[in-house]
Amino acid sequence: MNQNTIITIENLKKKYKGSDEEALKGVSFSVFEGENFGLLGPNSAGKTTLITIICGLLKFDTGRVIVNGVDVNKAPKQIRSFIGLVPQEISLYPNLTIRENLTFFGRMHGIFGKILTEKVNYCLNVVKLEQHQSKLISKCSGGIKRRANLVAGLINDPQLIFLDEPTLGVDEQSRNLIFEFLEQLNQKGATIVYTTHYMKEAENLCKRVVIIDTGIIIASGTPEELIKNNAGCNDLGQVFLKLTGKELRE
Amino acid sequence: MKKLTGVIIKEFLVLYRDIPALVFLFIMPAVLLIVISVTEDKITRQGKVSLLLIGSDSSEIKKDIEMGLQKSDFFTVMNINSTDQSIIESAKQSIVTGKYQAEIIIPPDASKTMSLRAENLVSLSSKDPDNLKDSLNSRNGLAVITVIFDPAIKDSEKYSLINALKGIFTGTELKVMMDKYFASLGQDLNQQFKTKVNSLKKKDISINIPDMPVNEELNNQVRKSIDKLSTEDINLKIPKFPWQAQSLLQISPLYANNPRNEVIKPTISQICVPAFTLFAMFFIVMPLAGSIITERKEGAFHRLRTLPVSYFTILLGKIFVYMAICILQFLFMIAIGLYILPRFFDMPALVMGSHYTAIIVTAIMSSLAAIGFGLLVGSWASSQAQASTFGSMMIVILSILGGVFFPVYLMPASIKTVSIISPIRWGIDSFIDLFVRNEGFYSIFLNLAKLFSFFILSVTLSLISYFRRN
Repeated sequence: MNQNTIITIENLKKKYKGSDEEALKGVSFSVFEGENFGLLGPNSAGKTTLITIICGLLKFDTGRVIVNGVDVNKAPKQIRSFIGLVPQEISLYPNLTIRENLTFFGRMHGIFGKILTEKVNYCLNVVKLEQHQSKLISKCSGGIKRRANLVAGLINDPQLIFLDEPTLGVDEQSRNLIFEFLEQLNQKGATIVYTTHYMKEAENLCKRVVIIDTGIIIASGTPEELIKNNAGCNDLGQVFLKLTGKELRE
Repeated sequence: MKKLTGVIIKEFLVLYRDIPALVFLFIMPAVLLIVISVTEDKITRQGKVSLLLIGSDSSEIKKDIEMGLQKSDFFTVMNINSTDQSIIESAKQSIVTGKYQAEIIIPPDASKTMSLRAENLVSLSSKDPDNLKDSLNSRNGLAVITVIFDPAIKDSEKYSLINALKGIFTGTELKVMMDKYFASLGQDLNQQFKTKVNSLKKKDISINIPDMPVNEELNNQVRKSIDKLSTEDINLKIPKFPWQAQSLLQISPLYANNPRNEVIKPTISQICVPAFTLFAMFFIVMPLAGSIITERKEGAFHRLRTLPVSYFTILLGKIFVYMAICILQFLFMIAIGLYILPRFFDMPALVMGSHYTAIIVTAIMSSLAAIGFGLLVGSWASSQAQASTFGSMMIVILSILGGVFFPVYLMPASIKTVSIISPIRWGIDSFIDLFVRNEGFYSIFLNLAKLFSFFILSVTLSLISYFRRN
């Protein structure tokens, strides 16, 4: 694994307008190039806020965010050409077909003509959506939508991929397909930042994880290290519960 | 450019699959245009007030009424030659059912009554002039013409008929009165001459010229002539009273604000086509605002923001697509005015004047104003329901103020003042200047500037909303 840093976050703080508490309270970590990195935490921990800031979609109060050498605060638009975002919600046009969605997002990346057609075909093929490509998104099942949502964020072969709960509400077969695809991408050299509530997924997929709760990083390391460092825990899920507590979150 | 093309293709596909929106944008305004144009045309052409005129065809009064009302463009007269009471009663039913709006009943003795009253008044004018005024004001001996109205008749139509009848009656009365007066004048002068001659007979008019041998003969001849004169009628010929209605004065109807003083009458199409075109254009607020909100709510816009494409490109793509829709709407409505209304509804075809460039520019500026409004609503509304409710409410208000449903000149002054803020009014006024008055750019420049400024302002406010949200 390449040890070049692709994401550097230093003392990041963010407080939403009208809120009493900071969403991020001085978060610092790094992500290495080619890494499969897990960002774990309960609801309202600050995961989505963090990803949104790193993608240049949200301004932060203090700190530094450097993505592939670009200061996100100063030039947020510069990072758009090499990142891919797979949001938690299905971010597709319901009145367009799967193919039309992929084609549109490909064009917005500046991909046209034969190359675009090939990329779209590849994306449809890799997540087994060829037979559904002419279906309107509004008419697709949850699993199909998730797969389409995934490949729409990856049409430009991004160097850095953000996946926010990509397997939410997805059946086991679709989940397995997604994992295989993500592993392929990682093997090709893409850096993956992965957020999930499913600890088993994180344990299997991610080489390193940080656990964030109420805007603070409470643990970081490889899954094995975290399990080892938390006595009485046999898996990442138990580590997570031990560190974040069993109380229900908003 | 290629990214812009991609946005345009996407917007077209989204709109193309929104069938209710397309129906709303094209079918609804077309139906409104056709129904309202045809209805207004019917009101203008055939409503003409429909009347029944019942009485004897030999009645001079009836002839005058029929001729006078037929000359007017406002009445259609159905003549019934009868004085039968049962026919009069059954004719009343036609009024009750609304088939006719009024019934005029001429009594069989109306002409005779009128003639008699005229004779009495003329006689009184020479014999008892001091009581003439009281007799003129008296209602006794008047010929009564009954007019039965449909209770649903508009006041304007009712009083138009009454005033028309009064005008006709004035002419008829004057004609009868003059005939009687001058006939009486002839007799009177005749009588006065005879009286004068008779008084001459009684006088001794002998002439005695000294040394005139035929004195007596001459005197006898003069007396014989005077005797003869006293028995003959002088048959005084009074020339016919040279009078006819509107033979001395004439009304010249003109339209205000026309430097060439031409008579310009806009057709229904020239008013309705621009009105409903603007109405249709502004209804793009529904799909346009809807698409912006859907993009935001469904998350597609969230993804778009992470892509290397500017918001300006996205906005421009939407503007292009909806501009194309507005122009299509404009052409569709023009086609209705040029072909559908004349061919299927027997209405005059739309006349558009000759300044086609100005017409196209006006269509473009009106489209931009409509698009700006759609962008504004889409940017500030937080939900589809809010956008639909607010958008449609505002369009109806702006349309009413703008003169879509009834002309601005009919509004009270206070509302007319408020109506100048309606961009729909700016568009309609521009089209009317082009279509009806055949004016060019100079005349519509201010309205075009207002439409474009409205677009700029709306887009600016939309961008403010975008930057606030993001």
